[in-house]
Amino acid sequence: MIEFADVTVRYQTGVKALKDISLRINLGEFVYVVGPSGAGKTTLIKLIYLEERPSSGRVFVNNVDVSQVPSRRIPYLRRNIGVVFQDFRLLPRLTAFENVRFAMEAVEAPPKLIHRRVMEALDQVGLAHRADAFPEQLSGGEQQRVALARAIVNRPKILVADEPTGNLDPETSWEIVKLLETISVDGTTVVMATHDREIVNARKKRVIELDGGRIVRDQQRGMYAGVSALLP
Amino acid sequence: MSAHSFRRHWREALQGFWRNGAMTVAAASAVAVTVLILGFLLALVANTNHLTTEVRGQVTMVAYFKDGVTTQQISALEQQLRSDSKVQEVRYISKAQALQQMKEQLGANSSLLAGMENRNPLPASLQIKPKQTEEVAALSQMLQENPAIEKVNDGGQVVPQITRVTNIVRGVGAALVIALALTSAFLIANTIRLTIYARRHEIEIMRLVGATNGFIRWPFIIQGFLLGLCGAILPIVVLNVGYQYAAQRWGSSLIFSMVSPDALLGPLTIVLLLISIAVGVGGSLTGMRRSLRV
Ligand SMILES: Nc1ncnc2c1ncn2[C@@H]1O[C@H](COP(=O)(O)OP(=O)(O)O)[C@@H](O)[C@H]1O
Ligand SMILES: [Mg+2]
Repeated sequence: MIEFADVTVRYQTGVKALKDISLRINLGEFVYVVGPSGAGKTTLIKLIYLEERPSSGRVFVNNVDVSQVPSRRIPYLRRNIGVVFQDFRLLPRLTAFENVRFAMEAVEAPPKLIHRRVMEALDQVGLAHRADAFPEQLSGGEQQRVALARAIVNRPKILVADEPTGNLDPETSWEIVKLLETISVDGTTVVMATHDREIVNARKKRVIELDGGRIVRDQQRGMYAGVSALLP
Repeated sequence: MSAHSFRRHWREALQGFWRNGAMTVAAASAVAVTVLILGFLLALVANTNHLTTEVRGQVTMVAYFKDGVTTQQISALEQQLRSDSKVQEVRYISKAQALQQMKEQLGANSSLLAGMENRNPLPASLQIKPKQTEEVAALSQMLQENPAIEKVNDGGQVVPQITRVTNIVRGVGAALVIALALTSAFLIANTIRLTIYARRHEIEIMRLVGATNGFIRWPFIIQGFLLGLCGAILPIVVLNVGYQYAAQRWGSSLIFSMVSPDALLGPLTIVLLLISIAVGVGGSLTGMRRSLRV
């Protein structure tokens, strides 16, 4: 569960990236966050994975008020949140398997569990057969799937993805989106920032639209642009 | 910390250690120079301290009586000195004993003094060992004012000179060693910064998936520890071997004896190891302070 209450984020430059945002995302929900560049999508995602803190207002993630939480607890809270980026951020010197394992080792997961869980995660994204490939030997879509396996290997309750299809061709983008939906069906909350119209319009999920740091629309089974914008 | 994580931190630390070859060599060499100079100075100071205490124990004043003083005058002064808290030991040397001592010193040439027994020119004297060398001046003053005393020999001013030299060595040495230690720590900090930079993507992912600060920092702390330790080994070996050799070669032939290697080298080695490890870990913590956001 994610809840924002009157959240404002003001960067040191004075820019207000988010203004008085209130929203609630339930367990297992799938939500698209859309809006033009500079609308505040990345900032909203960063609040969820505790990379930014609100300047005012409150943010609850998995029932913890993260606007108040001391820094030393943040690592432990992050273990319940998986993150995927547009640029994959895989470690080039590690194989697919090692990249996923890295996330388990970093949180000191029991060594006995590691091999099985890593293979399960790679299997879930359909890449078990490429476990020993290095990132440069994989296509963009495959790399993003490894990144996805890394994000879910610690079994987070929430998965956030910041324009995960931004570097991919339409066909590959579909695969990633379908994978994200499968993950949400298993009970994980998924929040995906995007400005890919076709995907948003085709999937008919909840859409939160931002513009200039404000929510301009929050619609179940929504479209990328409001219905009115589609009318002639 | 689990055994698994412990092994992992050491593996990462060793990788960081080998990958930045040039910086690792520079940082470890700086530690080596620091340890070598510090070790040399500590050995020097230990030996001058040893010398000072040895010389202090040897200072003996001699107060010569005027010719023709009475035995009452002599024993009165002797009594006075024995009850003086500044005095450790008093010994009376009569004219006859003085002559006997001189004969012994001359040995084979003692025939020069033949026949002197009747016209003995040597004065009777009191040999006085002060408790502290600092008391010499006051005692000397007091004895000189005594009418029965002809002359006072206060044993020279060796000790204050040694003390002065030791203090200069200590002051200059301390400043030099502190400057070198800071340079070493700075180089270690830079090596750690380079390693952190080379690993910035890994560190970013670790943060993202929820690694604790401790987990992220351990390999760098170990790397600093290793830099300090590696820098210390060679100079410690050199100092140990060199001192053993010097003690064997010159230890007993000098006017004073050197501190024995057994007594000096153990503690010296431990002190040098601890200092270089402290410099290594300290440098590593400094290197992490700005580069690793907490
Ligand atoms: N670290 C930052 N410091 C200052 N301003 C920032 C920072 N990050 C984003 N911004 C500004 O905040 C606004 C929202 O940015 P962002 O959340 O990245 O939007 P989006 O992801 O929708 O493009 C923009 O005006 C951007 O320039
Ligand atoms: Mg963005």
